[in-house]
Formats: sequence, structure tokens, C-alpha cells
Amino acid sequence: MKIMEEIKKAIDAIDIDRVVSLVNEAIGQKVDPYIILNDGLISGLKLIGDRFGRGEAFIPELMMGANVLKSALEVLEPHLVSEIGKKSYKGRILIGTVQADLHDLGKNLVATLLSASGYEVIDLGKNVADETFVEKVKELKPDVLGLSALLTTTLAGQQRVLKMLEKAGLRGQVKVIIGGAPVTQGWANEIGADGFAEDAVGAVKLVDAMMGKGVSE
Amino acid sequence: MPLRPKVELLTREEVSDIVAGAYDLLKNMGIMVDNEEALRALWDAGAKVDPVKKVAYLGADLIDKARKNAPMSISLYNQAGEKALSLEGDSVHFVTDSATVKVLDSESREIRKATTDDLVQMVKLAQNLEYVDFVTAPVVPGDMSRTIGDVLRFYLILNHCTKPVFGGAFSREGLLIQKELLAILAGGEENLREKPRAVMASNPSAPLQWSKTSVSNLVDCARYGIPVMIIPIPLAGATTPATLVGTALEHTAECLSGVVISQCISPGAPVIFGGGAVTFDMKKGTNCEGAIETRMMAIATNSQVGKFLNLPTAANCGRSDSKIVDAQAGMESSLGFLLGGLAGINMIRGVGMLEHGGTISIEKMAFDNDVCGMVYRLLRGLDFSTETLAVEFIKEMGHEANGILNSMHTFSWFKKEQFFPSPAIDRASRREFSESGGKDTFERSKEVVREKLARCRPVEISGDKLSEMKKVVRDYARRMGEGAIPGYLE
Repeated sequence: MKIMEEIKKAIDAIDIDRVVSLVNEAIGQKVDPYIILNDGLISGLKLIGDRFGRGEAFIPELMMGANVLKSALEVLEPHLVSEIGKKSYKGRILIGTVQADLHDLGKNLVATLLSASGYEVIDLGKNVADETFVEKVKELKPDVLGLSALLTTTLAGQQRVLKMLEKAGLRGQVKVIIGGAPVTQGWANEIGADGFAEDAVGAVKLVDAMMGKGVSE
Repeated sequence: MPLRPKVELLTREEVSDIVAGAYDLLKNMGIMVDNEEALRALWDAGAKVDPVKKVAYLGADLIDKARKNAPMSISLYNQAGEKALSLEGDSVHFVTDSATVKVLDSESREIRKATTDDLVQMVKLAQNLEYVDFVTAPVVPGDMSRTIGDVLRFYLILNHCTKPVFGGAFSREGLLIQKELLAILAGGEENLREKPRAVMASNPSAPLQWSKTSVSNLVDCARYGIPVMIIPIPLAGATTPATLVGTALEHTAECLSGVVISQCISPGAPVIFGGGAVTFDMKKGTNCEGAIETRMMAIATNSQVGKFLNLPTAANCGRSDSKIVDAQAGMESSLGFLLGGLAGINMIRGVGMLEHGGTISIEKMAFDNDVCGMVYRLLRGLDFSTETLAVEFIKEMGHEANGILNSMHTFSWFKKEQFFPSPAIDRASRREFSESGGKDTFERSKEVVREKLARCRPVEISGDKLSEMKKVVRDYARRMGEGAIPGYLE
């Protein structure tokens, strides 16, 4: 569909006004909103993600592309009748920085790269209370939960959340991945996380592998 | 305008003393010139000449007059006849290095004889190096005729690049043929004189001597308005004094003598104060292209004296003595490019050079290109304004600061503030580094070379001009008694 190509191009060019007007136009033409979401918006962001993977695009461009997608979603959302994402996204990711940790740069990068690879990412922010992670897992039923911690003093938060998920009987329904500068595979094994990655690109590969989606490039 | 950082080692008085000492040498010791035409021109201009010893003594008036006539700015043009750059003030331009007989092999990483194919690949790469403004013949191919190799190399450069060229000739005939090739491309001798594309080299020998070929190239360049770089190569401690300023002084005298000869032939002829004074290693007996003193002499002589004399400047200060593309190579060349850039030297040679100026590596050419880009970034200085100070932006972001990476402020400034090197410079995470094979500098640079060569577009020369150029070179080859004519001239 020609208009989908144009939406993709406009997202790739980070032209927010054009993306919003094209989305409105497509809605006016009675295009299935899920097609707009999938073949237009997500595919468009993926173009930037692909360029990033080839070393041709920059992080701020990727982030700005994700911002554009968010703004377009606000326009599209009222038209998406069933639960968002089920049909279009590769999977749903819940992500946040653990309690008492105010660092979110790495977590934001992972979140952006995952969105740019076609995942629906719900970002709980930083300094997220242990209970909030558990409640949100229960409520939103994500495929993957990502727990970030930058400090050796806050690493224990990852372990606490895992234990609480276990207790609440939710551990079986969600894969848990952990990241952050002091995190190692050894720590992941010790606390029983499902996976660990050293950097944002590694995190996407990890999630792709978990979801059985092949590797995003 | 941002503050342009600048490095100097001598006071203006000290520079003036060096120039005065050079005047003393030129007047009282004189220069030995193995060329009658040049000696006659010097005699006609008022120099005292001893025809038996072939020595000319240059008085202060003669030198002053030559200095007054020599232009302080030289503009160079590309193949299309558009102005590419000006050698003047503190402008900085990087130059691929030239004329080694050996290359560092990309596969074996060992030394071998350079071939014609190496030459072509290197010129193609240089055409596509963003921060290199001058292309040279980096190698003297072993599979190429020694008699007419200068012309063949020049012909191949003109076939594979459009940038300004820095070259040299083996003989007077060689220079004239190269000039003819340039004139064909420029659409005639007059166009070429008006819009020069090439700078030629002329090397005096220490102490204060001009060989037959060197001076005849200098004379012919002056006559035809071809910019010429005067390149003394003093070896401090071996052919010139071990004291750095003593070598600076003799270097200055040799350059000045070249300026006088060129201005006697043709007042106003474009001439560049160049040269590569190096220290002589007292343990190994080698010329130290990468020594810190070699850099110091470039700053003091090529930059400070050259600018004092109001001449465009050049220096060989980006070279390395390392035999491989390693930390020493990176350190020596980077310091050279950086200090040369900070000294505002107009033409900085050394891109790709290793082993005391004896071996070129195509991988190092790609790596050095990134260093040159970083030097340009430094010279651009800091952008200082209300918007770049970002007080309002910082307050707006507040203590959370989580919006910085995806803010409009970051988006609109990061490309202006940061220099982005090629993948030859490793900035990847450990994971990415390991997953992509843990490649070292050489291997990463090799990939950059491969990618740049794969992307390069052929240089277009109109059919008429190309066949005329081929004919000129073929005729010259036959005249010089060359048996086999290379296939690319057919």
C-alpha cells in the first residue's frame, strides 16, 4: 500500500508532522488500524533500527524515531479496538530499573532498541518498587520482563523481584532478563534469571532468541 | 569564532635570528647549484657566482626581493577546475605520503615490493578519504619502468582521482610531460597556469646544495607557474647540526635559496616552504621520522619560520618509524598530524607512512584518515553560545534528566558536536568486539579500505582528453626507448 510506504519513509526521516497527517489520512481511508501500526509505524521505526544495526544511524535518531511512533500511536490508539499489540508486535516487553537505582540510560537504550526491533515496550521507568514489577506482570502479561541495575548495591533488587514473582506464582508465565554494568552471567545463574546481555544490541538478540523470532538485524 | 588552539616553540625574535643566520649562510657560504641555467639566472639577478665551484652567493637584497615577490597564498583546483583549497594562513590540509618502493601486504602483513595495482588501489582510496585533500603516488611500483615511472604514476593518479595532486619528477623531461598531461585536463597551458591542480616537489640536499634534476624541476615549475614545494631533508646530528635550532637555521637557508632561484626565473612563481628535518638516531643510525624532536623542528621551522617569511607551508610531520600498524605507528603519526595541525602547517604529509618513510600501508592510510578528521575537529574548537551552554535545557530536564538522550536538544546538536570516526577506531562494547571476531586496528582498517574501495566511483575523463593523454605518454615512452608499453595506455 502506497500510504504505508510513505508512513515508513516519514518515520525514517523523523518527520513527526508528516507521520501524524499520513496516519490521519490512512484512518480516513478506512485502512485497518493494525495495518497502519504494523506495516507503517513499526516497519518505519524498524528502518531506523536496521540502519542503526549497520552502524549508519545514531542513538538520538533511533530515540527520536521512537518518539515519533509514540505520537502517532496517540492518534491511532482510539481506533485500535482490541488489545494493543497482540496482532502486530513481536512480543510485549515490560522493563524498568530496580528499586533505589536512579540510572536509566542503559535501560532506555534497551527499551528503544527493542521497540525499533518490533516489540511493544512498556517502560516502568527507574526506581521501580519491587511490588510494582509484580503487579504489572500480573496485569499486563508481558512475554519478557527486563530488570536493570547499575549499582552493586541495587543488584539485589533483581533477586528480590524474581523471588516475589515465584511467590505470586507468576514466574512461569514470564521470561526474566537482567542487565546493567555489574551484572554477569554468573549473577544471572545465581538468581535464576532467564538471560543476561552485556549491551543493548545483545539484549535484542537475547529477546529474539527467547521469543524464537530469529535474530533482528 | 571559537578560539583556534595554536602551538609555537620560538619567540618572534628567535625566528628572526634564525632567518638572519640563514641570510649569513646564503651570503657567505653560498649555495652549490649544479645547473648552468639557474646559475646564470642568479648571476643576472645580481648574485655573486663562482662558475668553477658552481657556487652562488646570495646577498640580502636579492633574498629580500625574492621574498617580496613570492606569493603568500596558493590556490589549488580539482579536475573539474573548481577551487579545492588555498594554502595560506593557518589552513591545514593532509596529504597521502609518497614514493616508497615497499608496501605492507594486506594479507600477510609482511613487507613486499610495491606493484602498479597497489598504486591504483591507494590512489582510489585516497580519492575517497574524507580528510585527505592531496593525492600523491604513494609508491614507486617495482613492475613499472624506472625511467618513465614518474610519468606513468602521474598518469594513473590523474585517471583515478579528481583531487589536487602532489607529485614529483625523475627528470626534466618527466616533469614537462606531467605538465602536459595536466594541461590537457585543464584545457590548455593558460588554464593550468591560472588554475593549478598539482604541487611538485624539489629537494635541495644538505648542506646547501642543489642537484641537476632538483634545480631543473624548480626552474621549470617557476617557468610554467606550477606550485613547487621545497623539501630540504636535514638529518640533525648527521648532515646538519645536532642542535634543533641549528638545523632549523640551515633548513631555512636551503628553503630560502629555492625561493630565490624560483623568483629569479619568474617573479611571483608559487613556492611552498616545506621540508622534513629529522633527528638522526645515534644508536641505530636511522632517520627518525616519528621522533618528538622531528615534530618540534616542524613547528619551529616549517610553521614558524615559514609563516614569518609569508610563505605557504608544508611538512613531512605525520610519518612513523614503526614497521607495522601498531601503537607506535598510531602514536607517532597522530602526534605529528595533531602538532602539525596545531601549528597551522598548510600541507601535512605522512598519511599511510611507516618505517622511516620507507613503507606505505593502505590500512594505515584509512586509519590516519580518522586521525586527520579528529585533528580537524579539534581545530574547529568549541561552539560557545547560550544554546550550547544549555542552562535552560538543563533546568528543563531537572534532576530526573531521563529525557536528555531523546530530547530535541540532543538530536539537533550531537552531530555538530561529535566527530564520527570510521569503524577503524573501535568504540564498540566488549560483546560486539568479541562477537565480530576481536579484530585489531589493522584488521578493522582493512575492512574500512575494502568498504571504501567497493563504494568508489570511477573518475570520468572525456574520451578526447583521455586518448590525447595516452598518446602523450605512449610517445614519451617510445622516445625514451621503452620496449613494452603498459596495457592501460592502449
